[in-house]
This record gives sequence, C-alpha cells and structure tokens, in this order.
Amino acid sequence: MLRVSHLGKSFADQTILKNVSFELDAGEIVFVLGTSGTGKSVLLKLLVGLLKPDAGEVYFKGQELTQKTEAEWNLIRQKIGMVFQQPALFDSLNVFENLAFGLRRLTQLDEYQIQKKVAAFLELVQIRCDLQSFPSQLSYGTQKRLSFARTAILEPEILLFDEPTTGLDPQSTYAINTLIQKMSKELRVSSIVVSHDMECAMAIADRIIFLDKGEVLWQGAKDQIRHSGKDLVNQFLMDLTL
Amino acid sequence: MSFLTSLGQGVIFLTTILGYFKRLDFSVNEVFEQIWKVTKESALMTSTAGFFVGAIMTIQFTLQLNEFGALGYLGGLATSGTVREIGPLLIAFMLSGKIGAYTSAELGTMRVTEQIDALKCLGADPIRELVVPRFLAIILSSFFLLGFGLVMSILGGVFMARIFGGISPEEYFRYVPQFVHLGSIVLSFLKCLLFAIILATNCSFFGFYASGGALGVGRAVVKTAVITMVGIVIADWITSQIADVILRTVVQS
Ligand SMILES: Nc1ncnc2c1ncn2[C@@H]1O[C@H](COP(=O)(O)OP(=O)(O)OP(=O)(O)O)[C@@H](O)[C@H]1O
Ligand SMILES: [Mg+2]
Repeated sequence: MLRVSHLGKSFADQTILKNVSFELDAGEIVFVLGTSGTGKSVLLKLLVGLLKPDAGEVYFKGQELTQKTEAEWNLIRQKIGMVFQQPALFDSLNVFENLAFGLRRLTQLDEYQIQKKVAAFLELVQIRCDLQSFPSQLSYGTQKRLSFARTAILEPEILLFDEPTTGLDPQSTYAINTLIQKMSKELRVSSIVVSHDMECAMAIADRIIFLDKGEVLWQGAKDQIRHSGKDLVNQFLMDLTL
Repeated sequence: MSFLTSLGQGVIFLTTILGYFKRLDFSVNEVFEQIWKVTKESALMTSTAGFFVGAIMTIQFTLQLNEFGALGYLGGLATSGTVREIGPLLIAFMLSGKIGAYTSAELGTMRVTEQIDALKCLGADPIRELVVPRFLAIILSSFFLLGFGLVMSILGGVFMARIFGGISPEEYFRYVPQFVHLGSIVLSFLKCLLFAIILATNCSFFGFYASGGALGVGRAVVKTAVITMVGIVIADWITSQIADVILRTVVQS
C-alpha cells in the first residue's frame, strides 16, 4: 500500500530524519514511537507532501510521491488523510462547516448528501454538539475528535495520526483507539499512528516502529517487541509494566 | 546570512502573490470582506490620529513663525509638511501597529496551530484563500485610510490655527497653493501606496511563516512591527530624495 524508502530530511544544517524505510499494508495499523523531537511529526508531514524530503522515495500503490506537484497532491491527499497533533479546526468556521470543508472542495456531493455525511461522522466519533458552535467554545477532547471526523469524512485509504490521544482522558483515548481499530477492520483503512503511548500501541498496533534521533532504531511485529534488545525500547516497555 | 535568506524568501513570497493577481486567481468577495473589516476597524483611529498630527504641526509652526511675524505662511507651511512628510509617515506607523500586528498574529496563529497544513490537506490553497485577499485588502484600505487621514490632518491644522493662533480658514489656506503643488500631492499618495505595500508584505510574510508555538507568533508580530516601521522610514527617505531630484530638474528646465 505504502512503501517508504530511505527517506531523509534536514532543516538548514540540522538533520531530522535519515534513512527511514518501512512498509504499510492495507488495513494495517503501524505505530511510530519515539522520544520528543525525533522527527515523528516531520515524518508524517513528508508522507502528505506538506514537507519535501531531501532524500528517498515514498510509493503509494506503486506511484512515487515525492516529485508530485501541488495539484497532483490534491488528488493524493483524498487518499491519504492526516489528523494533526493539534485539533487544527478552523477558528472562523463553525462545527458543521469545518466537517464539510473537505467535502465541498474535494467531492461533488450536494448539500443534502453533505449534511447526511456530517451527521454520520459526528455519530461515529460520538459527538453531540450544536453544529453552529465554534471550535473555541468546545473542549479540547471534543475538538480532537472533530478533527478526526473532519479527516475521516473524506474516507481516505490511509490515515496518518499525529498523537491522536495525547492530552486526552482515558475514556476519550479508548474511544479514539477503538475508532482507529474499527476503521482498519471494517473499512480496511491503513493507519500510521505517531504516539508516545506504549499502552495504546500494545493495544491496537499490528506493527511498531521505533524512531531515535531521526533513524529507525527497531521495527517489527508487536509481539516481537520484548526481544528487541534495544535500551530505549525496553525503557518504553518498562513504563508499561509500572 | 539569515537576513539575506529572509529577504530572498520575502521576494519569492511577493512574486508568488503577484502571480495570483496576474492570473486573477482569487475571490473578489473575500477581498471586499477583508477591505470592509480592515477599514471599519481602523477608520476611527486613523482619522483621530490624522487630526492630531495636523494639529501638532500647526502648533509647532505657529510658535516659530510668530517670532518672525510670518504667521500668514502658517497654513502653507503646516499643510505642506503634513501632506508631504509627516502625515503619511505617522499614519502608516499607526496602521502598521494595528493592521500589521493583527494580520501577522492571525496568520501566525493559523500556522502554529496547524490550520494552514489542515487547509492544504483538505484541498484548499492557503496562499490563495488566506494571504492574497488580506494582502490586497491591506493595500487598498491602507491607501484609502492614509488618504482619509491626510484630509483629517489638514482639518486638524485649520482647527488648531483657529483656536491657537486666531487665524481664519481663508487666511490659513491663502498660501497653501504656493507651498503644496500637484507634485506634492502625487508624491504623497505614491508614498502612501509604497508604505501600504511594505506593510502588507511584511505582515503576511512573517505571519504566514511563523513557527514555534505561541512564542513564535509573538516573534512574528514583533518582526512585522519593527521591519515595517524601519522599512517605511527608509522608503520615505528614498522617495523624498528621488522626488527632490526630479523636482529640481523640473524647476531648472
Ligand atoms: N518547519 C520546520 N523548520 C525547521 N525545523 C523544524 C520544522 N519542523 C520541525 N522542525 C524541527 O524538527 C525536529 C523534529 O520535530 P518534530 O515535530 O517532528 O518532532 P516530534 O518527534 O513530532 O516531537 P513531539 O513528540 O514533541 O511532537 C525538531 O527539532 C523541530 O524543531
Ligand atoms: Mg510531533
């Protein structure tokens, strides 16, 4: 589905990512773990063309993505959706318009179909709020879930999540994890989830990639992780048993 | 190095924006909405500031001209000074404090909260939808506000001359044509246009490329204010120099 090969990125003289390679199959959930500042967010932004890599390639269903123009990216971004680390809802638009935003620009749906779809996805993320309210009037957890819905509503084939549960209460965390799993099992959506949360990873990941200082420290199936032999990985595992 | 890099990026940014204008690739409605917003928010401030700038100029000139018994020239001198130099400069400063800070904070916040990235991911072009309408609206409304401020400053001058120096409006305006030529007025409006372009470029550039959270937005606002004001003063000096040269050649020939 998605193949990342020897990806590298630097800003000025600071190398953020080097030689990152991995693959993602249909319906698979891959967690990317690592300490703060190792370039996890940068990695996701490279995959949706918000940043351009200095080295390496990204193949989506056999198409090479890194050389695409902005117009071509608009088509690809319907297939690869990103849920940002911050809710990133548009301040000046109400809840309904935020959710309808992508549908209005990227699909041919009419107003009635848009309304139905918005209602369906609000149901999916279990949010009942006034559609006319503005993001600033909503709690952080609600905003995060709306942000999830705004991306998922375009029904992409790959979803990229940048710390979807950081800063959320256990209940919302559970709800989001369940959603990611549901999209993967029922709709065969592949997900890459950037996270600090080992517990979530152990709960829903198929595979785990560990990044350290911009490089892949370890990657493999979830059940292999106890045999990684890497100190940093073991530290993350230790948090889990505490 | 980093200054030159920013300058280069600024030039690229400006050419990108001009590309949208050339292709007429922007929403006219959005531009009008922004013009209305900017003008509505700043009209009162600009007219008040303009009025008092004119008043200050009159007071200063009254004190000095009085010593030479040349109060008759008050209107001419004060109006000329206000229209050609002080008016555009001070009003542009005020606008950069208000419109410039507001716009760069607004765009900067959208950048650091990832709203600009989200726009891109949902099929929108942030430069087309956020920057171009604001840029055009700032230029048009600053130009308009500066012109309006200048008229107010002249009124302020007349008013102060009446109160402070006991000079009637007819007397005040008597020598104005000798001091303020068509050239000065054209120059003044050219300056206004130039200042407006400097303001619009700086605030959209620094806001749009802000980075580093709330702190980054703060930095973007400060940079906008400082660089706009310094830029305006330098541009003012350059235009005055050029105008001076042109005026002298015209007079000589
Ligand atoms: N646009 C940019 N320009 C310059 N440097 C950047 C840019 N984006 C990110 N960086 C730098 O890249 C490094 C990695 O950032 P990134 O946001 O990917 O970290 P992260 O792994 O997501 O961390 P966190 O867990 O805190 O979100 C940081 O040092 C950051 O300062
Ligand atoms: Mg991050």
